[in-house]
Amino acid sequence: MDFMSPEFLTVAMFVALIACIMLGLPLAFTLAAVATLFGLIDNGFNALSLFDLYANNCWGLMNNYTLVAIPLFILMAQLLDRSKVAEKLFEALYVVMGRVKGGLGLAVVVVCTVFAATTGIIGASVVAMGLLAAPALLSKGYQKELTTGIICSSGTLGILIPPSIMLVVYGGLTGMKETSVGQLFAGAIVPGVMLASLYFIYIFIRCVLNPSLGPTISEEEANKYSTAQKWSMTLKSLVPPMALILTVMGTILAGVATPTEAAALGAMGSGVLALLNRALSIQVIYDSCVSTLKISCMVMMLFIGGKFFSTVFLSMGGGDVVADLLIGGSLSPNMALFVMMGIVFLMGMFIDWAAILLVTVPIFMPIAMELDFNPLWFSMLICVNLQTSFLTPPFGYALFYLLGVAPEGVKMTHIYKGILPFVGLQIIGLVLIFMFPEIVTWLPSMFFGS
Amino acid sequence: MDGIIRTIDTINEKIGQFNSLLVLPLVGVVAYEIVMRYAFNSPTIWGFELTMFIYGVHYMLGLALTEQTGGHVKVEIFTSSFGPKGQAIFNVIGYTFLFLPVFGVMAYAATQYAWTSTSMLESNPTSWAPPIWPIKSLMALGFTMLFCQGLNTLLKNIQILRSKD
Repeated sequence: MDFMSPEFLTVAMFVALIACIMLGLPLAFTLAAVATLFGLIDNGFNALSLFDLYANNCWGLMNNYTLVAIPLFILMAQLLDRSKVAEKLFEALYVVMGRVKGGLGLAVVVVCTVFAATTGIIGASVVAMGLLAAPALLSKGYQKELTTGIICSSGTLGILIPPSIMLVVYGGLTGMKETSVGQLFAGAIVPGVMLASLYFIYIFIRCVLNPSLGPTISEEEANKYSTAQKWSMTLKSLVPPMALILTVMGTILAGVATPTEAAALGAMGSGVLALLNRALSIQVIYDSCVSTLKISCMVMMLFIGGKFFSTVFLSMGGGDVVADLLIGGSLSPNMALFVMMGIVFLMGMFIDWAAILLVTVPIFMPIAMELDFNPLWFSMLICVNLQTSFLTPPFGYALFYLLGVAPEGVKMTHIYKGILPFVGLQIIGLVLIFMFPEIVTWLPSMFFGS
Repeated sequence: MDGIIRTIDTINEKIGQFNSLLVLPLVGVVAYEIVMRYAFNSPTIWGFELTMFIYGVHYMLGLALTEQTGGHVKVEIFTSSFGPKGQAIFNVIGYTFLFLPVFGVMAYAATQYAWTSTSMLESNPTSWAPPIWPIKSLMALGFTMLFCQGLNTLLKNIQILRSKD
């Protein structure tokens, strides 16, 4: 056996990565450490040249204009989270949709979808809904499994529906024109809305078939407000986020602003919204800045570690080894695609989206190009798959966010059981995108030409 | 040992918190650039690069604070089934053999990288031609802070191991 062959090193590198991840060290450090070990083996233990390469990599990251959107979109989400936009919208929809079977659950889907279109991270919406909607739904007698499933799945739409940090990272990582952040944003809108619709239809059908799963609110509670009051509550809570969505996405799609510029506008806009809702103070701004820093740094540290890893992996010839396995063998292109999606899905059960993205995309993207896949379509399949990674047990982040804030009596088993049907819906969504690529490509071709 | 831990924590926390405010001028510079381009039709020559400098320094000087507050994501599939002492053992192993050697050399290499740049007062080959050696030096500072903070995590875990339950 040749211990220096690219085949052996590729396998060994992944085995070492999995073993080291088990130690529970932050992923970014693990990636960097495994990269260093194999980088040294590969270049004959020339530490100086390897680390000089790393330093150059880091300097390259500091000069990546696309990634500037990351802290800006995170700041926007932080300010928005503190401006109570989601809470107000839920309170309005509570009385408007409460009399429909499963209506409160459907209200959660709507609130999360609107919120997802103004924010690019997921923690905020799952936590906000877990604190506000979960007690409201459960006290009305909603089934625990269904309630937690709704909140987790809808709450994670934020990572897919633009603006989205995941899509910024993806665009910044590939650096290709076909998968620029603007293209990805345009491409993710229809799939995101489609997934929200799938949740919506599913919840409605289940609650119609079995009304005890999602009881309605009482007549008196719904009639506390007149129809006119309900309308004004809804409009008041819906117009500000809509204006923000139009500012951010409108300027990107119309081509007047880069995603980075739109992110800055969005951050200012959400500051104005918080001010209008009387939720802005020096303390709020300071807290938003500190949490923005921590989330940005978490993503960027993974970017640094992931960059080291993929640099070493590709220079070792690992990319070719994987490509040979997937293309060179007797696999059909669709089988190769299935294998790649399966790998991302499996990794998603254990690892955070950013790490998966940073490790797999540099390897898979060239393979997808070789197989003549539409790059945007392929990217969106990966992104929907990564959104699912927040939901898949045992280690879906959304499940743990919710468990952290869920009311008394909600156990992890409820959450695990509740999420399974929604993971099924995600897979249906993936299959739909696979069969009808227009779901992804139609909107970008409308705005940017094909 | 307590003294070292507290000193490193305090320095990294103060720098990190102050540095977190950099995101505000970042918004300002990007917004100013948009206004200049559309309202006055005179884009700046410095907006693009300044934006990237602020963003780069923003995250480089925040890595240590994020480490301090446990903000870097980890996978605890295996380790979560152990008690605090068991987890501390894994952390001691991980930080000693994986983190410290790699990020120690990284801090050194980044400092070398910055030193090379500083010794020739390097500037960007663009029309604005800003000096970039200060930015590269801040990158080195960021890695040094991160290394110290990782060392701190190791010390804290050693203390957990030495403490009586």
